[in-house]
Amino acid sequence: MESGKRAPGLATAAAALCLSLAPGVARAATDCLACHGEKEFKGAAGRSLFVDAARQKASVHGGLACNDCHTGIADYPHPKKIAKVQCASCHEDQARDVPKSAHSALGREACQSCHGEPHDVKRASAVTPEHCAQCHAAEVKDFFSSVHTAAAKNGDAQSPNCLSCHGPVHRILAADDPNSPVAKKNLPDTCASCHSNADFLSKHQIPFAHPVEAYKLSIHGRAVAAGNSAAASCSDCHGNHAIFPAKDQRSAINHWKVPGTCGHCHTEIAKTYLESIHGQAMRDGAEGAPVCTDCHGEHTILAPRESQSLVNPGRVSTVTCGRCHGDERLDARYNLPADRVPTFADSFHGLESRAGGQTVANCASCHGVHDIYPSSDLRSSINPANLARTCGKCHRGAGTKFAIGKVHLRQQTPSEPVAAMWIRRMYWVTIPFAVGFMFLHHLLDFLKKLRRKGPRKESGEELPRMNLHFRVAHWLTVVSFPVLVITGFALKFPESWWARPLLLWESRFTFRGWVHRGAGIILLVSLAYHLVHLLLVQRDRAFLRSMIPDLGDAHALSRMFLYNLGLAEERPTFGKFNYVEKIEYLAFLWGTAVMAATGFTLWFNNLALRYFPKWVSDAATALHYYEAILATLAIVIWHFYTVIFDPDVYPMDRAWLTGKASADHLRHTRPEYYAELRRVQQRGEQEREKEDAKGEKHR
Amino acid sequence: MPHPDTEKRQFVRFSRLNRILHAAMIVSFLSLALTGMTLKFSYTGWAAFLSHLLGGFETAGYIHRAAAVVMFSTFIAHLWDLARLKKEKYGTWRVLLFGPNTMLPTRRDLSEFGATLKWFVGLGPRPRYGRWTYWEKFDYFAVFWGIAIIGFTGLTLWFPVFFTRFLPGWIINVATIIHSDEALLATGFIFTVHFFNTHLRPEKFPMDVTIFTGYMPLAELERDKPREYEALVAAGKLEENLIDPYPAIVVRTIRAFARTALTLGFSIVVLIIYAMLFAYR
Repeated sequence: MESGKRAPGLATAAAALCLSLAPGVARAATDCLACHGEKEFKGAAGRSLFVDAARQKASVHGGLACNDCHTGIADYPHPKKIAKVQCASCHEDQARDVPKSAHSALGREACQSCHGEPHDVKRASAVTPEHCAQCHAAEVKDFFSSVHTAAAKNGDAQSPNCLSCHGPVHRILAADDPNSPVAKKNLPDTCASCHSNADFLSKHQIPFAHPVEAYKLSIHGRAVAAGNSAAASCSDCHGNHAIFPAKDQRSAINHWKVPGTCGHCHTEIAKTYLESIHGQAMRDGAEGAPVCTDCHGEHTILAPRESQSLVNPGRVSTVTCGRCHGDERLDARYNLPADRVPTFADSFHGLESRAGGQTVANCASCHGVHDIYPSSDLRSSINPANLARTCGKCHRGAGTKFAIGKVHLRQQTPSEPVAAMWIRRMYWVTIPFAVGFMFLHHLLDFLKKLRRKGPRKESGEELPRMNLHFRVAHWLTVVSFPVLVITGFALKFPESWWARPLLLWESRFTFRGWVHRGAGIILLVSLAYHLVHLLLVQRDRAFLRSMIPDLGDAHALSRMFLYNLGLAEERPTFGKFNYVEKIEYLAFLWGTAVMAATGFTLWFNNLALRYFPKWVSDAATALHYYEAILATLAIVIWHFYTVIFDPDVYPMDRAWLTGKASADHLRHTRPEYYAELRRVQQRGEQEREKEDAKGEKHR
Repeated sequence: MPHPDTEKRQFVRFSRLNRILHAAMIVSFLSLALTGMTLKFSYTGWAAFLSHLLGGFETAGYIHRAAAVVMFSTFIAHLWDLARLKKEKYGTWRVLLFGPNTMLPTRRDLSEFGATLKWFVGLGPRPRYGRWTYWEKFDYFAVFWGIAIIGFTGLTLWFPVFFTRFLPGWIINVATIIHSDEALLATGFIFTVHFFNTHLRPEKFPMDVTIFTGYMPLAELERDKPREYEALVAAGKLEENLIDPYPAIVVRTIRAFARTALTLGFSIVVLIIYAMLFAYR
């Protein structure tokens, strides 16, 4: 034994040399068996030296002569001290591998601990897990109970044995050896040799697409690959030898075992979860209650900050919470409120989230993550007693003066705040009436002008209509109004193709919102400019007086209808402004006031939530939205007809650019105003003449 | 000085058959667009309402196919008319296709297009157009293109079993996409570009009824088609192309038809825009 230990390589070489130099020296076994065939044949130390010739004959080495292994023996009597048998003399490669393997700890017994008695060496294929069990009893017992063994029993040729996972037979390494195929880092690839094979997966009806590839992309897989020894590899969740299908009660990934399995590492989270409404329901056996994987996914688990994560702030509400809290079956079974997801989606939080915003509240922001409780529970973040603190996380001071009112609101349902409901009803009447009325009015006007015979003789002369100050105010409105319309409705329709370009940067910067607020400021600047202009320039202040509607306008309106319907001969005439322009002007003032008041309430929502009840903000939202629809339709249908599609001014009334209006048009439709303009013009000319005359005198 | 009556008399721009074919085309096109768009945008409220009004999607389908037959017939009748014109008026295809009043695009159209762009931005005078302007030629050939593409795909969708006897099955899926989106292009084009070209141009606004009455005021010919006008005057052929206008009642009826068609077209565009903005899937 000692010599074997000292220089096995040398002995092998020597034995090989002897054999090659001395051909034909093999001794017949009968010679050896003359002594060693005796059952009672013992050595000096009392050790049995008996060789069971029959078993030896039947073993895989049955064809070998005695001195093929016992190479030191050439003749009888053999030397007292003979060289130890070296398996390596024939099994060179294996002998080279074994010392590097975990089994090298067995020393000289290494070969026979698996291959059996020296004179009863078993064929390699006959070395079964049972042999491994001689040392690894617990592991093999687990393995025999696992799905892998069950597959073998069912005749599955692809079922694995010990070596399938633990590597080449003579090079088996300890599991904690970094080079072992079952080491944490290498295990996914080892499992992948079968479980990434599409044919294998489909043949065995394993209903998972690319489980190993998905795992490798997951936060667990990437951490393991980066060398994090605490991160989970396949066996941390599935078990190592005792692997069962998920439906098996014994499986670590069985639905009811999942929180425990994840809790091995995520201990505190699992504890919190088990206390929560979801954990309680799970413990009570509710099949619909989510366990860890129902929210986080399985092989694909990603960190919440990653955009594709199921619990990413931008997706958690719809993709994850909404999966159950919008499911009719679960809502009915557990009596869950069915409108949670749509009401969230309709709210500012939901709209901004749909637009891609990452900082806006999602379900978890208010309800908690693993510590979700029903609102009746004092521990719940949405318990009325805790609501101010929960909302206050983002909206400082919210709910301190007034209790936070209902949060999940939906129009046309009892959850709609009373103020918002009346605002909606008011606009549902006002919008169709105002817009419909004007549409009808303009349509009749258009049709009447369509029937007019021949083009009106045009002199082409133009008279002053809008001075520079009016035009500057209008230009500012022209720039800001469409921007407000587009950026505003982009919030309400975040999925539409025309809103997407505005929302490209939403996850990092609320571009849309700031453009909207900037345009709002420009619109207010235009109004301020207009008002200051009227305040400072006395001559133009008459503008305001001429914008006041009076009974004459009502009269003119009715006569216009009669005329356009062909029931009156004369088209009514007007002063400086007709009733359409007066309505438009006053509607603009009113609309801007409403939009500014509600807009600022929504812009400075923290203040609004601090100093007013929540329904004020809800009412402002409704008012801002409906007034926006009215304003947009008013511009498109009222204003665009007056300045573009009215055949009298088509293709466009250019007063907003040049400041001048067609003299013919004014003479026909506003004879009084036309006469006044002419008077002013003449007076101006007279004054100029006088001044010229004065100048002449002076000279 | 022109003939004293010339003031009242009008220039014949379109033959009776052309006007009838155009009217048939309007009726069939509007029916196709209306019934098709209610299917394409079936998820919008207006589509469901209109389809209900038309008698349900199945009835709308019958209307759609009937209108398609009318449109194919219009197209064939026009081709037959061309053959007739060649025989009776032009003599050879060469004169018909490459004569001064050709419908085919010419080098001159290209230069007129460039000159028109210049005129748009105030860099030159308005080109002196001939009988057919480049946009009229474009509109004309757009119909050929549309009939070929939408017509063929429509037939494969109408007779899928027949066509898949010798074409692969995916043809039906592709035809669905082509038919639907090409139809959107066609309706969008006709109800905006074609309507603008003919009715919304400031010199024609609010409506040009020449294609319906066939007659055009002489002053308009002189202003809009100066090259044709001068060629006719030079050849002394103007007089033979002039005619007394229709009685007022006929003109009123024709205008009512045109107004209805225009209103329907514009309404469909508004509905499409609404669907594309707020409900598109």
